[in-house]
Amino acid sequence: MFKQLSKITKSQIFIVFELILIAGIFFGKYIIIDNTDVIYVFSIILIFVFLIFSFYQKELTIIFVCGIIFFSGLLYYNWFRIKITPPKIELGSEVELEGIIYEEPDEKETKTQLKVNITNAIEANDNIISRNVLVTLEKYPQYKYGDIIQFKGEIEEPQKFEDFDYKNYLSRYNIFYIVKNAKASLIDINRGNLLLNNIYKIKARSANNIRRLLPEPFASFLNGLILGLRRGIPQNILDAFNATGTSHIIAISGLHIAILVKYYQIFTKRWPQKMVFILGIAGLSFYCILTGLRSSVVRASILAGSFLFARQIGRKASVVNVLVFIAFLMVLQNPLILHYDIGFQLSFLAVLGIVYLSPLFNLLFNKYLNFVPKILRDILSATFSAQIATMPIIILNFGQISIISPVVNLLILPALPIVIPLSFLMLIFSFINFTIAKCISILVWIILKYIIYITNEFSKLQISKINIALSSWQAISFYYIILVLIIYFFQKKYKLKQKYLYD
Amino acid sequence: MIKNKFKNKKNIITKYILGFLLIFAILVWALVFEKPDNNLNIYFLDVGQGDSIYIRTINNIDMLIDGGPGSKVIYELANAMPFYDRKIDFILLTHPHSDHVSGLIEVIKRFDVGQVILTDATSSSKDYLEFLTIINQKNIPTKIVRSGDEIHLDNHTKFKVFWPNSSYKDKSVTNLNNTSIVGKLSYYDFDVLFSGDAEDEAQKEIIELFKDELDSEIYKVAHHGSKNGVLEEFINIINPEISIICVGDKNRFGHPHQILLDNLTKQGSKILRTDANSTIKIISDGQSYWTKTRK
Repeated sequence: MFKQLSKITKSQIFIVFELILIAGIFFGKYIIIDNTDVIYVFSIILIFVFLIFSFYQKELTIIFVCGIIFFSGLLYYNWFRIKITPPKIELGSEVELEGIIYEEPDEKETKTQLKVNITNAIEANDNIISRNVLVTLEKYPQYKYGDIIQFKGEIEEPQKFEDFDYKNYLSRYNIFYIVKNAKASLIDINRGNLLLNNIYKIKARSANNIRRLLPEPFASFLNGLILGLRRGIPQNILDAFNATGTSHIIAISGLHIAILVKYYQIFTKRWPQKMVFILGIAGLSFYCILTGLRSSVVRASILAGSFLFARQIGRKASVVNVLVFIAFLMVLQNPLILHYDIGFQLSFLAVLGIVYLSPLFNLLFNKYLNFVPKILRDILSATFSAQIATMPIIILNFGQISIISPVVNLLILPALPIVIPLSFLMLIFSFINFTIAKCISILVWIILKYIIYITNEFSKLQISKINIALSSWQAISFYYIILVLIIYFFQKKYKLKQKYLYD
Repeated sequence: MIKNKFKNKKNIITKYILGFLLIFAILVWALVFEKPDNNLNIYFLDVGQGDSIYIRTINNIDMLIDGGPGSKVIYELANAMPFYDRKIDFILLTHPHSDHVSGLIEVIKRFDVGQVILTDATSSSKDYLEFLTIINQKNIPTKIVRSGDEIHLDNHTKFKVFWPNSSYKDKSVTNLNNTSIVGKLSYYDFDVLFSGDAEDEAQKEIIELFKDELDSEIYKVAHHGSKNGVLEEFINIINPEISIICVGDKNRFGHPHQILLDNLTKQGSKILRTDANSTIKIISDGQSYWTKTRK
């Protein structure tokens, strides 16, 4: 056994450790430790046990190290949970608070939601200071990121609805209190982070220009497609995307980033390598912040960044290594996303599916669908792979799956590499010369119209989706174990190579 | 070899040209399908509990009367206007209540607006102030109208203002509804009366001032059919063939009121409602007219 262990490379050991820690953090939800002191004592004991064993029992060290890492994961989750657990506050009481808007306002039909970090408790318990509160108020006047406001209202805890745990949902954003129908007044402006302030300004102006160029629902759709804004897309269109299994195109994800990076590469072909790398990383970071630091965008951007880095140093980077590392970082930053962020789960499963399953589908399609253009075969195998990998989670959370998804994806995905660069071109021109932007907007409109038309028509089909209820974790585990075994079997049989970020 | 290369290049160029022609063809067809007919089109938009009416003349001059609550009007306008048209020539605000002004904020942000028409009755409500701020920011010319004024949309289509008959500047107004712009849109022999939220008091005075001019084929019922605007005499003088009530489904005010519905039926007018019929479209060639409803 130990002979085998010595064959493992450094990076593989690293991955295993990361995975064990993630597992530990995952199970931390079920093994509850309610006292910080206990956590500290445990941590010290662990270090001692580790030192003793590494002195006397060298052979077993690895196993103990694994155990300790797992245990650290458990402790870390509990420590984090205690850290963010809200202080006791008299709920349902009228409060008056002052705080800074730390994220862009979320504008709804007639209301606006603000995330406010409390700096001053005017008429409330001081416990609330430095906590985050979700404030709902009338749409006008509009507030911005970095504004300091004073507001009055009744402070409450978010509710659990029948089909949606609002409390859990908000907890992952570190929000435990809400104030509905607040009365607010502006105290000061521009007090946020200077960089964020400017990026959000650019975002707001971009979104505005798109709204001036295109009619609804195309403007909202495009704002979702390239700026990550999901508000304003009419419910019937969202439903159509869900029913046809294409809602991933309105959430910016790996596909979008891959398209952007590809065009970036073509554009910078003749530029010096180092500059391409530095500008690329800067651009990706900018885009991440611009689109609101969603897990799918962050994941895809780090992946793309690693790709640029690997090219820069002339080495190959394995997709899975990078992926696990990203997951590790994101979970470390906020362990709650492991349980409460469906987007996080889906986005990682989808990429893993594409990495491991698409080579199998490619084999199949290359054999039997030879007459189809390669790009369409690639789309088909990626869609199938992602869908198989994410199916149980989708059923668990949404109670339905789409069966015509591959067909619809096949029809609309080829439009993305055309519409995304065109939209960016239109957006850039909207700041320079509005007439040129208007001309481009006609082309953009045609393609968007096509995408929405196709999804709408297909969603009307009776067979487009099946409703299934599934809630047992045993069934889900069983599904994934079988899936892993199948992948393992076929990989052995066809000697499929590991995927590198190079190709 | 060189010839071959040349041939390849030629091939690529042909492909580009073909691609371009394809896009051009799609474009032309898109424009053809979006081409407006040679009629006056009036849309009573389904914006919920509020008023919003979009008018488009044969010369493609357009006017939006009120914007309803929320921003539903944006989505409705997208259906009524051709996709390339991002300009609205006239926006008319009857009075500064939320269910008339709110939607206009988003409209003004998104469209190029030629002129905003309103009265000098003001309100301190948040959305009305935002509306004024944005008009200022975008430097849009405004015009305050009084009874007798005429707005010429194009050579054949005009909007004549019947109300208000006095200035509200520096006056305290007890009921903003009675400051509503009331007026008649005429296209050759076809007339539509728009009455904002004007209630009985205002209706009485309008009758005194413009008794002979009120007669219209279509009547946009005052104040969403509230019981405060049901003056029987007013309806008799207008003598509408179709009355349109802009009202939200299951609204909390209980609009429209039964007395009004009875009065309209007694008068022999057909009733169309945005809650039951959704968006209502009236098309006229200047002599006759016909209606299309979404539901």
